[in-house]
Amino acid sequence: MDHFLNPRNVGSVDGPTGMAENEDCGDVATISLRVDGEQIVEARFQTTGCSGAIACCSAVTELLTGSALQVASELTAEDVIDYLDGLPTDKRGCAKMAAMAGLKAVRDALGAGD
Amino acid sequence: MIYLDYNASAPLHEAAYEAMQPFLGERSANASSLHRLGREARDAVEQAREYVGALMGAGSPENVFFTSGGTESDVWALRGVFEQKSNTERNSLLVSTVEHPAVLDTAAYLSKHGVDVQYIEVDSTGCLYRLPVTKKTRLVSVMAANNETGNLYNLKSMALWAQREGALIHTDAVQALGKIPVNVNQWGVDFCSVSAHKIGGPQGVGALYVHPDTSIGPLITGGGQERGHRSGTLNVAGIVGFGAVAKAIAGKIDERSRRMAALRDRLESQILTALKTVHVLGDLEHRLPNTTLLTVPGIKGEAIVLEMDAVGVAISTGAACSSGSGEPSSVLTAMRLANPKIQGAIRFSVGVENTEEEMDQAANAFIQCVERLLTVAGQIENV
Repeated sequence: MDHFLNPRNVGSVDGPTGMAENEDCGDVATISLRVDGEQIVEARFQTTGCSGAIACCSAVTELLTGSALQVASELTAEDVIDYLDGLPTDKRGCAKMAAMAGLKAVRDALGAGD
Repeated sequence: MIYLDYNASAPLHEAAYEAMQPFLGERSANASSLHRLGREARDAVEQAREYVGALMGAGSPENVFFTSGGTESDVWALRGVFEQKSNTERNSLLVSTVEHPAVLDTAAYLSKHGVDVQYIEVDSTGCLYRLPVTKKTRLVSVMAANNETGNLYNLKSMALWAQREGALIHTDAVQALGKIPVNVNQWGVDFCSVSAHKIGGPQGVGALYVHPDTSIGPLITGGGQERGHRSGTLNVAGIVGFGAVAKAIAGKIDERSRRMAALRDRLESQILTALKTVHVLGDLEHRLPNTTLLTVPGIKGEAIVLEMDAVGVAISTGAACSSGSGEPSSVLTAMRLANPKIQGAIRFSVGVENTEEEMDQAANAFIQCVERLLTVAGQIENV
């Protein structure tokens, strides 16, 4: 609930190194990154999603910030769920959607595209 | 907590609470028993039947049968008609597409069992303009007021159409009772479902009005309670509570209606003035005085409800969202609204116990909540 009620890193990065949008069950999540060397120094998100999508996107930006790009490229929905200390069963899809948005942004930053 | 979810359930009325106490304690007995406590319980049930019947304009209280709630009443009316002796000349059920699931799911059940179910479409405001009754129609079921939009439907006119073709008509008046005048005799309907907890009675009690000239088979068979129409030991305390609140609000419906409308309008106007992205859904000229169904396209109603809850305001979504399925509201889907409007739907439903201050606080909380969620959605600049 904290990451839903007080989401971290809302918005979009100016001049992002990597940026991607992911859509699932009618929700859209956009994650943008700024990379310095091999490290993600800033990650931001926007989403039209439900409470779960907001909390998960917030968690993804926290997980990505400070992470090396290669490490970040292994981000999974389980990492997001663990970071949030669990999620209700009906919100686990939100973790998938947010993690995928983060991964796509990381791949964009790595220049690999989708 | 500011409670603005009266269409879901109204808080228990003081009169109901007090009337129920003895029947939960020292006067608890089976209303079918012959001993004094049983007879007293039965008398209390019959007294309640009079009060509930009077609130519905049912004529004789004998036309009112107690049930476990609105859902049972709806299911009983539909199945009770079609599970009687089959009538091959009249085997069609006509229901609107915005009915409560109790009606729609029962219609689907009957359809699987050989009944020809026809649906009456509504427009984008939830209005229905024609009632395609034919000589094959055995029963029409149209609600008096919609639970989500608050739309009111012209029962008197529809009952005339149904009668002209010799069809029976049922109405689900669960949301109408206590908010607008309900008079089954003036409407001319054959069956009418009501529920106690929507008017401040206890949960788990309802009633079905059955016109005295109409026959209907039982849904629940067994001990023959309710003159053989609805078996099962009577929920005496619950029925007494239903009767007590019906008595308490009888004769005050117009006054209650005016107060609810003033509160609802105060809330709604503040929100619409502050947030240009918010729209009202439904038929604004003909809706329940206590209901406003708003939509904020682009953000999720579910997120608004949870955030409002966190600041102490209880409201409902117009759409259920479970991630992965995103099941939309059947009412708003029937109105053929665009998905963002359906997903962004929020229902406020006020009660006479609410205050002007609560409306102001709820409006402020809603405005802040929507602005924050629009920021998260990237639809307005970061603040």
